[in-house]
Amino acid sequence: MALSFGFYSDAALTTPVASRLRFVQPVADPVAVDRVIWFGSPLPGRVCQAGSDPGVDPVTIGITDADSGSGSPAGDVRLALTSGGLDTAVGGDPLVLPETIAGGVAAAVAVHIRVLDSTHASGVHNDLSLITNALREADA
Amino acid sequence: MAAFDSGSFDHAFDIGGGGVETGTATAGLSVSVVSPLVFSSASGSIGWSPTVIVGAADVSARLSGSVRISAAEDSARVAALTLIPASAADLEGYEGQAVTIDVTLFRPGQTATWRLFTGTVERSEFALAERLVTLSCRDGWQERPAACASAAQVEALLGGLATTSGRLLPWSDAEPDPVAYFSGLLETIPGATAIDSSGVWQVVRWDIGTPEETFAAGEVFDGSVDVITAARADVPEAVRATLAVRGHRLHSAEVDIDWTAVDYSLYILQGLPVLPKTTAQAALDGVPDWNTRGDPVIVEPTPGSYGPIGGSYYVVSADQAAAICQSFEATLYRRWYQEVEVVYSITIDLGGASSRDDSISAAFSSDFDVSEWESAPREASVSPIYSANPPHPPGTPTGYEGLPAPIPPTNGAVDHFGDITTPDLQAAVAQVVARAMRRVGEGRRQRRVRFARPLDPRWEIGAVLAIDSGGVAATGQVSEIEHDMDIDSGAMASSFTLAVPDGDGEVTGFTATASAPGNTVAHTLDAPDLGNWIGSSYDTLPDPDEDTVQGFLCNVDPRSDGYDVEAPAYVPQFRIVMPDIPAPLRDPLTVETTISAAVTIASGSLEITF
Repeated sequence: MALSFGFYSDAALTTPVASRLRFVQPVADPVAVDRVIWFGSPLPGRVCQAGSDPGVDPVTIGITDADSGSGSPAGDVRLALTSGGLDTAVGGDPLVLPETIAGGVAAAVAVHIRVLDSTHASGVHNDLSLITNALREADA
Repeated sequence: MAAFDSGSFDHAFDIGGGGVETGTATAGLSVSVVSPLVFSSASGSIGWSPTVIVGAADVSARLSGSVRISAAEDSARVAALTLIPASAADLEGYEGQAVTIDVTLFRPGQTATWRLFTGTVERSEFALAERLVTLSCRDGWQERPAACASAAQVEALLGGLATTSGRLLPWSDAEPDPVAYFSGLLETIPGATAIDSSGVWQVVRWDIGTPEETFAAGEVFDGSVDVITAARADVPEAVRATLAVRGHRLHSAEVDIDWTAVDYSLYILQGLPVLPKTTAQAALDGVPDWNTRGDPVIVEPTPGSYGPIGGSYYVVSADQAAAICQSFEATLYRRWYQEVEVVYSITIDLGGASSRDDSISAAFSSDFDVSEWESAPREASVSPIYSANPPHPPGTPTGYEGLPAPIPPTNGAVDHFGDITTPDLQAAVAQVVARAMRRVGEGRRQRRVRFARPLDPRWEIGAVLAIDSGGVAATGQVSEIEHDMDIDSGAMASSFTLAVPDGDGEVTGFTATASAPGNTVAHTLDAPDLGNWIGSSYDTLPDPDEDTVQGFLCNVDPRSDGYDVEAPAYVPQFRIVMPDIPAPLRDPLTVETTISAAVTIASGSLEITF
């Protein structure tokens, strides 16, 4: 069985994020676009922890750039746990979640994402991704 | 053999139970940096390419026919596409799969990728003759409210625009029905809901400000502009909203009564009986529906010898005097209730031609136990703690101590609605007005302008757009979208329907307040005239008005000179008949009052020139 924890496009965890999250930026004078997705599991009774040291190390969500040097840089993306936190978040920094995240809708963690293009280069940039650290999912 | 492990047994049936899993979770990002030139309809060529992901499979290369996506306010976004299945096994796996539909637009030097749809496959239909499968897809608009577990979650879905009223639309934690709660609240919002092309729940206000884009004649397809006026049935003459609040008008009336015995000489001459205190007290206690306020003041005769008259005396000993009522004064009170329905209402002119009665009504009732209030005897309600610990310094008793609250004003009435508070009332009033506002808004938004242009995925439900083409100049809010891409011919188009309401402002909203009407009830009940009625006497009236025969009824002693055997005799008693309560103060009552409210509907603009 695969991990039940993952990214969802709704707080009720009914729609997994199955394809790339789209952000549209005008080539000139771009304006930051915010979006929120949720990290969690629809299965109550399961918990998620960092695989490195379960219950001690936090779960983290990082930004990877599969093709640094072209496309969008990781610094164009900010992550925060609240919409207000996006204002002070640092572009490209990983987001630190709790050490243990419970399953179930009520325990889902909102992940706020802000994208502001710095390239001003017309095109579609698919080089960035959100990725968690290695996770360990088990029964609570 | 190992003992049965009930924990392991139970655990085996746990949903999601599956031991330890490891891995990472990922979500790809796509940043589309777009030049507005890609949407220009200036001369030149534009290319497009769809990307359809079903589950984890990219089926873009297998598309056939058309891909059609449509969205509207307060409904699911749906998509239909046709593809060539790779194998028979694929046919079994489509339903329930996640689907995304993207389109990439190309102009020389420009590229833009947009998401058009995020949802799941609802149904697949395989046409054997053509070897094509048509997928009908839908987003999670219906499922999203159903997944809510609390009232707060449902209200959050409506972006704080809903007008809640726990009285009219309660949430039950014991039997939660999030779908019904959502539907009820949806009728109160000055806006609409939708899930956008990226699968994100959106709440948009029905506000119409400056358009984000204006499309001139060269930006829309020739002949695609339609102006649709509201149907007559959609625009009634007025919308009337009423809220009925049912409670009780609690009345209290009191009447002073008094009685004095006949002159002592009649005891000597006619042998009349005296009135025992116990009889007087029993008479006071026995008046139907009436009670004695405080304690009656009963005066005893002064012990002594009265007379002589004709050589006879009327002698009263101290012991006898203690048991005789020479006169009394008392205040009798009665409390009763009247069912009252206060109807708060407002009529919002819509200006339509239809005389259809378009009304919104709601009601709720007080749960006050009015029977208990009316019938509880005063004595039974006196707290023994109060009796044992009277206040210091002692106050002047009102005579109503121990009666259940509320205590109406003397000879007046109070309108009582039990546990219905003023905030409850205001919330309920606001909710019915909010429903009326939405009804009005929906009616006026039926005036629409529809147009089509080359595929334009920039606009979502609620976007404010303008068109100035073919003699039609209009500004409105996107209420319906349809994207159509024909894989075979390469044709692509977006059709937009703008709601162009004939409103009276830039925002849709309302204000509403109401206050409970007061009452001016004042009771002035006539006190009964309590006298002394002597039967079997030459002075006895043969046929007195029965209602006036009140007080002490007794008869002349047959041995006295005044005895008339033919005169009517009375049944000895002390008779008290209290006045009736007039019907208008007893029968169920309806009180009409108005709601102070203001409703504004965001206005679009529409001008047609030939």
